[in-house]
Amino acid sequence: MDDSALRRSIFIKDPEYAGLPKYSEWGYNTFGAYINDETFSSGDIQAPAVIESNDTSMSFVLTGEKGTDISGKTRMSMTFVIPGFAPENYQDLTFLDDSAINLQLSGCRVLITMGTIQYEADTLTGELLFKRVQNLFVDLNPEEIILSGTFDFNAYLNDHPIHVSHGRFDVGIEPGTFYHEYPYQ
Amino acid sequence: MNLKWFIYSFFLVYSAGISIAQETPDQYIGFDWGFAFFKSKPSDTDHIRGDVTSFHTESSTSGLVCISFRSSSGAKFETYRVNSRIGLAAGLRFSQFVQNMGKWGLLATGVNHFYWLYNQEGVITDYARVKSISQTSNYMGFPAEIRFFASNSYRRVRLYFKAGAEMEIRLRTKTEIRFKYDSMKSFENVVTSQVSKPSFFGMTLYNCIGLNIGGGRKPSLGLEAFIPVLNRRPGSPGLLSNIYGGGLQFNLQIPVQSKMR
Repeated sequence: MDDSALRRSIFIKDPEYAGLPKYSEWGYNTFGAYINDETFSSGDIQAPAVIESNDTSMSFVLTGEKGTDISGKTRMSMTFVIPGFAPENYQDLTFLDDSAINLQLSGCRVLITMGTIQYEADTLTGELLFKRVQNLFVDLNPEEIILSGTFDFNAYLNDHPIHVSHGRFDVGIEPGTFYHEYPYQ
Repeated sequence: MNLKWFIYSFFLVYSAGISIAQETPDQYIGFDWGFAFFKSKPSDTDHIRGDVTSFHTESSTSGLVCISFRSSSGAKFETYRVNSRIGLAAGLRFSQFVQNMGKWGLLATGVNHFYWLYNQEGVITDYARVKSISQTSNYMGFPAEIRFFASNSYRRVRLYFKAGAEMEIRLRTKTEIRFKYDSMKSFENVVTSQVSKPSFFGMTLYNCIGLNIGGGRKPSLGLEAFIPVLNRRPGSPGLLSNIYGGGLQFNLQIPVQSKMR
C-alpha cells in the first residue's frame, strides 16, 4: 500500500546543531551532517535516501544539499558502499538493525558526488551506525523499512582533508527507493 | 501567570474578606452555567508521528487541531460583606471537559489523518491511521470565590471582579478513537489504553470581570468573562494539556436574606 503522507519529509530542526535535523526514528525522510564547517542535509528533497544492491554489495545513497541559503546550496550525494551484504528486497534491510559498520574495512567505500563529478573519499577513520531498523506496518499493511542511525568519518577528498561529523539519518525505504541489480543468468 | 502567586493571593484576599465583616450579611443562593475554550497541546507525543511542537495552535492548518472545551453548571451559597462590596461564595459544580485532537478535513491541509504508534516489537513497528481522538471527562468540583463590586448596592447594574478556585474530582472518562479505516476498530482498546487519562484530582483557577443586573430583595443576573481560566492536573493532564482558556459564565442569584433595597 502506498501512503504518500509517509513519503514527505518532516524536518525537525535540532536546537543543538544548527542546520541539522533532530535525531529521530519515525521515518521522517531527513538526514544531515557537518562537512567541515558546512551543513549537508536533506533539506526539502523528497525521498532523500535510496538503496542500491547488487550481488556483492549494498549502496546507501543520501542525496541532499550542501551549504546554506546564505552561502549558496549545492546538490550533493553521499554514498556508503557496504561489501558483503546484498539484500534482495527492501525487507531484507532489517538485518542491519543495531549494526555498526567500520568505514575503514576493506571494501567499504564512501563516494561523494557534487554536480556531475564523483569523488571517492580516502577514509581514515569512521563509522556508519544503523541504530534502529524498523519494518513498518501501517493499518497492518507492510509500508516501508525505516533506517535510523548516525555516521561520521575523517577522510581525504580530492587531496583535501574533510571531517564529517554529527551525521544522522531517519529515512524510509520502500520498493520505489530500493533497487536491486540481478546478476546475469 | 505564576500559579503559586495566584493561589497565595487568592487565599490571602479570601481570608481578609472573611475577617472584615462583622454585621449580619446578605445571603444568596446562586446558580451558574459556564463554558470555556482552552489553548492546548497533545500529551502523548511519544505515540504521534510528526512535528508535535507545532500542533498546539488550535487553528493550525498543517498540524493537528486540538480543541479543549469545558462546560459547567453549579450551585453556590454567597454572602455579601462590607456594604455589599465584597461577596464570598462556596458550593458545588459539575463540569465536563471535551477534548478532541485530530486532522479535520476543513482545517488541515493534505491528508486527514495522523499516525499513532501502537506497537513496537523487535524490528516490527505498527502505526494506525487515525482521524481523531476524543476524550470526555466529568468532574465534581468545589469552587470558592471572592468578588469585589466596583459600586455600592444601590445601583441596579454593578461591575465586579472575581477570583475563584475549584478543586475537582474526576468522576468518569471516556475515550473514543476514529480510525481512517473501520478495519482497525479491533485495535480501539489497544490505542485507548495508550491515551493518557486525566489524573483523579485537578484544579481550576479563574479571574472574571462581570456585570450584575438587579439584586436587592429580587433575583439578579450576572454575566462574566473568564480572563483567563487555568486548569491544572498534577500527574497526567489527559489527552490534551491545557495551557490557558477563556470563556463566559452566567449567574442567577436568589436572595435568602437581604437588607439591600
